[in-house]
Amino acid sequence: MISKQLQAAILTLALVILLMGLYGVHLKRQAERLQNTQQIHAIAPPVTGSSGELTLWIPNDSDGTLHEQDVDATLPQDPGQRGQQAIHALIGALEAKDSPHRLAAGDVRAVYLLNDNSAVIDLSAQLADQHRSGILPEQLTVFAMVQTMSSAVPKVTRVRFLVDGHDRETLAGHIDLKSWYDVATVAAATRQLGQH
Amino acid sequence: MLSRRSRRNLGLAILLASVLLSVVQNGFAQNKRLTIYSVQTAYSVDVLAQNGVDYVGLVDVLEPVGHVESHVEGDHVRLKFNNADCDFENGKTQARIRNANLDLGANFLVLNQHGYVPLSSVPALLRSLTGKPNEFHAAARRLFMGVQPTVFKAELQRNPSRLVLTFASPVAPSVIATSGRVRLLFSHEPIIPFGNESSTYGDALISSTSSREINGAFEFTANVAQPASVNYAESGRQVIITASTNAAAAQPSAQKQPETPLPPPHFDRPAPPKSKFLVVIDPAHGGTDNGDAITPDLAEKNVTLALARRLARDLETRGIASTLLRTSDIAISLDQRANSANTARPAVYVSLHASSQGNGVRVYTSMLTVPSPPPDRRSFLPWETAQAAWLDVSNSLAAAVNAACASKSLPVRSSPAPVRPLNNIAAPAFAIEIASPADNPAAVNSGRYQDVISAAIAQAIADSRAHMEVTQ
Repeated sequence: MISKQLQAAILTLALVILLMGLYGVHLKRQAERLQNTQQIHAIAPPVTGSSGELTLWIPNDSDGTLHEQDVDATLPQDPGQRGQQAIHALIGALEAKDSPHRLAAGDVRAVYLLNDNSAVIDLSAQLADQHRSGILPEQLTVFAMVQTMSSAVPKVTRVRFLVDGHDRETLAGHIDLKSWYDVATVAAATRQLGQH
Repeated sequence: MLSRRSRRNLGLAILLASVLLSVVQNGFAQNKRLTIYSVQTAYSVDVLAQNGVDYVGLVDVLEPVGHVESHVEGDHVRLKFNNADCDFENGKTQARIRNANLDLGANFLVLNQHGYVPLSSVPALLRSLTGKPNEFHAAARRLFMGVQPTVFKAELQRNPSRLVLTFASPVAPSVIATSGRVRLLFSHEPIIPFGNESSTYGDALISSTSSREINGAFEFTANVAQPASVNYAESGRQVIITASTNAAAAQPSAQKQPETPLPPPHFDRPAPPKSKFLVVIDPAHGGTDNGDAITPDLAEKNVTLALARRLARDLETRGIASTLLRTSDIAISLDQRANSANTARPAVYVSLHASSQGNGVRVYTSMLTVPSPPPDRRSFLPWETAQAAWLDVSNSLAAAVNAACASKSLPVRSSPAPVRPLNNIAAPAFAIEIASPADNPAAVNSGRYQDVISAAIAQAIADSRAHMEVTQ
């Protein structure tokens, strides 16, 4: 015969094990949620500078146009950092759930300003790999980045892209990512998109 | 006796060998092709070997010769060809065509949401659906539907030695020159050998010729001294093989040159003589590149190929020659597409896309700007900006396509866009992206919807032809 005290002890231990197991599952789910959140939202780089307004060019899939949107942000003095901050803010806005042109994931890795007023935007592979395929969605993303870069650093006259530091033929199968984009030409093409 | 480990290793080796053999067999099977010659067009489809039986895609076979609407429901492929209702069932040897049974000779297959019919059943299937008689050359996989196979005349002329091949209509063979031989491969002409398949001439420079039907094509071989040249005459009705009397003709066999296929081998249909008004149609994506996922079961690459076939048919009915950069599900790089298009020296290049986003038709031209002065089209052109020399014509053509689509009440918009490979095309060029007419993205694959778009594009090109021929 097992004494009543021993039975109570075994039951108590079993209950403790069960509760610990449930708590472990809860912690695991919480960690997974946190990880997913980190994947979806761009991680803000540490920036210093004065507060001000950034102009983001937000694409709209429903009518195939881009419109300007001013946001409050920290504006670094260094033009390269300011350009990166602007592209980072743009990607963050487009990754939001209510974005009219949803990007799945990814971020800008770096922005390089060259002496001839050219800018090179280095995007993460995640952004390009998970981008929707199609002429219109790819064109809107590229135009939005070029226009936003031009608004943040007005001296930039042309822009090109890298993905994880390398050349890439197209963003997601359609739009050229190897050529330089002339800022004035993109501005004119953006206006043309808005005329429809 | 083998130890247990040896037996296990032997078993693994046999399994590995079987897998390799299967891969090799499938690799060869992918190279097999069926070519169908009809009054409207000639087209090739890939042959797929399954369980020792050759199969071809049901829609691939029917789409170029009629209006096809098909959908897969479980094991059934329900298809409407023009006004005929058809029902095919996976694993069944009979199909229902217009409420009558058609014996397929082997099981119908559904693989990856695509229906496949046994190759041997294609003549009966086409006869039943089109009502036209056909002649099937099974060994060479060539099917002549409502078209009489034609023969040609070969005549040897001397001083200089040259072989003159005369055909009933213009031809555009692929030319493969090797040491001691010139091979002409006719993929889209319904030509068959005449009389003797081999002829001996006894000429010092052109000794003999042979011809045969093979793998959906007709092949003519001339045994000639090197080097030899191939020229066209009589508006493409004559092909002249001229053997050089140059001392270089006596090249030792050890210095054989590698095979130099012209045009490039990935080009499904060879370039006709330069004087022809040719439209190069580029169905975007293919192979492992699916493009946009229109729906989970519908890839952009399949929509573009279907639209390309319709456009080729509609151009042909307007008397305009066209060629597709791919006629099957194969991957071609963007640079290869531009290279193949430029090699064909087309009058127009059209890149076809489809999208799950938006609706209607979007017409795109290059985003390049025209430099001042404009580049000379006859001079050397940089690869990255080759299109700049034709941008004015491309924009006019895009405007004509826009107007033609609008006249058919299609929602349409035009804009410049950095779509690859438009900048590399040395000809008037534009890209089309079609989206569904309504909220249902899958509707972009509707045959009737694509027919309207295809007719609009073809009409715009036909209407612009006279102006373009003058400006070029």
